[in-house]
Amino acid sequence: MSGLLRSALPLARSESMKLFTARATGSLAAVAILGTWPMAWTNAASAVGVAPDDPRLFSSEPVPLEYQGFEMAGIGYVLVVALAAVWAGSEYGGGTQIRTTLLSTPQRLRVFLMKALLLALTVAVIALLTMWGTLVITHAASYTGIDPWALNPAIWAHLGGVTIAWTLTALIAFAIGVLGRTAILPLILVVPFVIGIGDFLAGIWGGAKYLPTAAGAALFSDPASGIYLDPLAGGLIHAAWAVVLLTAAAVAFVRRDL
Amino acid sequence: MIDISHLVKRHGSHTAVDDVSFTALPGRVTGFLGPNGAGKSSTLRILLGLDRATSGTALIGGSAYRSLERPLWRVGAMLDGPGAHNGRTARAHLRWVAQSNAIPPRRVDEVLELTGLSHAAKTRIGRFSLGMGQRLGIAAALLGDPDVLVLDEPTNGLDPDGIRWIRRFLRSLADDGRTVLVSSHLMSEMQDTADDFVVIARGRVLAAGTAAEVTGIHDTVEDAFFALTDEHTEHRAAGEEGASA
Repeated sequence: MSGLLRSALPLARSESMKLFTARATGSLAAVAILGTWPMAWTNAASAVGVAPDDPRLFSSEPVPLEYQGFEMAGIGYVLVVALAAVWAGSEYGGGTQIRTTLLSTPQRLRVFLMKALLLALTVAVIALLTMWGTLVITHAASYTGIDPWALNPAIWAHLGGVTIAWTLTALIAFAIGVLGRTAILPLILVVPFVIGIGDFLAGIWGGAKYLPTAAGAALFSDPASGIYLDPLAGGLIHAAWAVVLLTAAAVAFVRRDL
Repeated sequence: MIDISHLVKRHGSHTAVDDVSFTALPGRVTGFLGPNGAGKSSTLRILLGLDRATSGTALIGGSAYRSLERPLWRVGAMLDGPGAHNGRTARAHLRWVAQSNAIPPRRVDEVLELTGLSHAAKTRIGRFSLGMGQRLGIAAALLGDPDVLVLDEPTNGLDPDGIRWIRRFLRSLADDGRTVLVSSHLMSEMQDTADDFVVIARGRVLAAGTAAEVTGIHDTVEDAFFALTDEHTEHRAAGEEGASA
């Protein structure tokens, strides 16, 4: 155990320093959090005093309380995918930092796992902060009757769900970035799903609900829409996508020549 | 000590490194010489665990690089520039490299000083000249004060002052008892610096030994180098055929 710590701690410190001193990390996290909160407020406050079935609302089907506010998840979701893409791609950009990384720590699987772990923790914190604040603001600004500081168990469960979904999708983007050795590929492949292609496809083709982000959306979306899987199945399928892609990326990372 | 034995690297049908064997000894500068594309970098990349050998072994102090824990304490390496993210400053780059091997942070300023980069510590690496990038690569290689140094074309992009600095520097490292392996495609550059020479072309070692051994019947090491590598260099061969036709 002490041997593992001895070898893992310096790597944890150096990779953390890379992640947290990169300009992209701070700015993407800040925009996710500080961009979503005010929008949650304008969104929630604009509907105050309007009856739930008022035709001026986008949908005349009232959104159940425990799902309200989660429609704000879109912006931050895109930004954490961008963070994951940049995190994977920054090793391979102009300066080929990956060479120094692997000269410093030639145990490649260790490097890969540390990078994935740090990304997962960072994205989970960003997701939790962004969406917790969003829900507090939503329930405070629209007087839904739910104590904004306490929320309720169902809302907390969905908050956990959105955190898991963001984290898994970020790991998928990271895996694709490592496989392609670029930030561009995960941006092209993953962002469309995050901004709703998966949900859109799921509306017209039943199989699409098994696509990663649509499956993960079951963790925090109103099942009444009828396009999502059961939350547990959705979460497991999203996780399975992440595990498969991370495994492929890890194998490539460990085996290929630089 | 560096020990390379029957090393082979194939990419499909192309053989980049073809049964290469040599040693580099402590206290000596070993010049690894050959034209561009001869297989120098491929050999060094395998030695440093970046690429996999098709067969054969490349060991540093009896161990494969990939098996070393905190390798920067034992081996310093520089390949083709600094290997750093362009958005980071020189100091920030060296700090994470030092942290990865639990090297005390004070070494960062020491190696910046040693390589003449103190004034550029806070400059982003993207704004570095070629020569500054080379110096930063050398600074990173020196972080752990290692006994073995592997440098691939360290004088690329350096001005004459920088080249002279590198020569003296390599000499002093070897005089301290370190093993120094340096590749170059410029024979003239290594002639006065290296103790031992390994000449490679088209993936094969053509000659290895001290200056006297490699020079043989020729007047200088450089003459021997051209005589050995001429027939193994494609564009030269083609040019001569064209001239005689």
